[in-house]
Amino acid sequence: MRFIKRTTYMHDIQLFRYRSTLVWYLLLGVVVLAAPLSMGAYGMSLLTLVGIYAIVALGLNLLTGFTGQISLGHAALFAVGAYTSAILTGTHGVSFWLALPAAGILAAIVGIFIGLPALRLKGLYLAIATMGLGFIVEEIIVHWSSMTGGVNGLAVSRPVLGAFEFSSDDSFYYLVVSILFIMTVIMKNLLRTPTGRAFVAIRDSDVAASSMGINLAAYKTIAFCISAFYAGIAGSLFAHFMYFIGPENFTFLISISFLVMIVVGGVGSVHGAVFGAIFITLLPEFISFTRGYLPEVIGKQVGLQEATYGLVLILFLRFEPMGLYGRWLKIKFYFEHFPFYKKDTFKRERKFYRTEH
Amino acid sequence: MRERQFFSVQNLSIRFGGIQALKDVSLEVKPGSIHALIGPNGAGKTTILNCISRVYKADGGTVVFKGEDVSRLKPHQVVSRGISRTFQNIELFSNMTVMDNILLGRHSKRQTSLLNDALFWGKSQRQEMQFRERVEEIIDFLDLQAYRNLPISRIPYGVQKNVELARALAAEPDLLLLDEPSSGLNVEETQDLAFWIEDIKEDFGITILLVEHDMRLVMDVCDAATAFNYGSVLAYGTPADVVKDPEVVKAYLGEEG
Repeated sequence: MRFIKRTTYMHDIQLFRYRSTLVWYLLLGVVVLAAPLSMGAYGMSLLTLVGIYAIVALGLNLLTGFTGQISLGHAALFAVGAYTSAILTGTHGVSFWLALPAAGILAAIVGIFIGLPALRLKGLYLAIATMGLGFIVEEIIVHWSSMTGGVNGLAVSRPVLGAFEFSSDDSFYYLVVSILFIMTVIMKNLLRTPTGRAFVAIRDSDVAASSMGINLAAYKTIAFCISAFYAGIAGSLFAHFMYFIGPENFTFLISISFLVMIVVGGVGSVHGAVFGAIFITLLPEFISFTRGYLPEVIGKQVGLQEATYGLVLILFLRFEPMGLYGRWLKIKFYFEHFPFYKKDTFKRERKFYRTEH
Repeated sequence: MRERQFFSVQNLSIRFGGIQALKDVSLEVKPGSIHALIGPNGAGKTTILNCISRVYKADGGTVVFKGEDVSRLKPHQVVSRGISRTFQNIELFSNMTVMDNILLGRHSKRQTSLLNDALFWGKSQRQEMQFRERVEEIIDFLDLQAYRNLPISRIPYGVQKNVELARALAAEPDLLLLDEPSSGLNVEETQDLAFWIEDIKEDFGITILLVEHDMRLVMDVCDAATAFNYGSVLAYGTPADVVKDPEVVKAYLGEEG
């Protein structure tokens, strides 16, 4: 058991509550930075994808996990970021370092439009509306071929900094990791200030939030904006990492997999976004690995991956709604409170209040 | 000439479908007083509070606060004018801690921009410290220390009501609207509440308008009372006078027969 003696208000909100936490994170930092030494090229490309997806998941988690607004159109925002960056650097010769924020900002602007229905719709209806807007963007990409290359896609180059080109996967990995780090710190900061609290307030009670002086329309729009900005930045990194983008990279299934990421990782937690990104990136690898060992009837099925997504989602919602992060907390709790852990500690309580809205 | 009014409601009307919930209701609250709204169920007491805090849009009438008509404001603008409220059926942010709930009460005092917050440096950090200092004072005032870091879903009902009060106080209002603050509380908790309501008036100088069914509480702490039935004012005066008013007696007990 650990206790902390708080002597300043900062102690309540600092990023690392205990000194040991800081040590663990530094250790994690070392492992992350040293990864290229021990991993092969394939492993590194997977890790880079984890980083890119984690950025999207951070943003989507802010929107869905913290603000309570579902979006099934995030692949579209991811696409806007990717194409903005690809077109700016490719066709117009703009530097990547300008195209990256531009991709984020343009995605944020599109995010406002995707978020507009959120001012009036909730839950399932919002999901359908955002899904529709996602399809619109997908179709625009296919049909506006003079700009986007249509179904043929676009070739994208790797970014250059001075004389150095991020051509190796290792160097690009470091680029993604540093951007992920910045984005995580920004997210953590937002969440411990009035902005982040306002988002959570909107999720928990509309009426109370507005009576506390929170402008619902403005904050919902801001949530979509920030979330889209994250997706846009990630999209830009994705385009430059893959060398090539086409409409098939931004389908509806991608939107779903972003959603699976945050549910599996843990809705409403920053750690969850990263856990979810790791899970979703490794799942297809795991499936293709096990395919050979499965009975032929299952192993040869085309939709195996999609079906597995669905199954995983259902199992998590049923048995671990807090996702991998929730599981992680429980394991941590077990060791911190050893031997006082009892089975009912995390039993969900039944609630009987709030009958009226 | 009439002196400038602190808070008054003039000819407030609202209709829900076939029900005229409020009909030309006028009332005035004197600064520094505790004013009770009483009446049988369905009289329209909560509706008045909801119209003042703009949860409902009134069909007609004005609400004047410190010389400004606040009846055309957006719901989120009301609190910045100095009016904050609690709810009859607790409307807390149930997945957040007590601390975060009360901190949200200070949202209307926010000075930082989104960019400030994203960097969490300088102004944003100072503001957060100030917010927390003020919230700790309120936690001390309402004896919430033991619950500070618990999520709302883990604390008892009576304490949840106090957290709502704390959250409304955190906005540093000039006028506090309490919607049935004692409902669901036991005798002891109601006693505490009575002391707090008086302290809020005397120590913080906050005027209170409350909807209340517990007549003992009303008689003990309130300076004035307005009685309602079927959306219209029946009587106004000191609580002792109002409960003796024949119209009020009739509304509660029916006619002598």
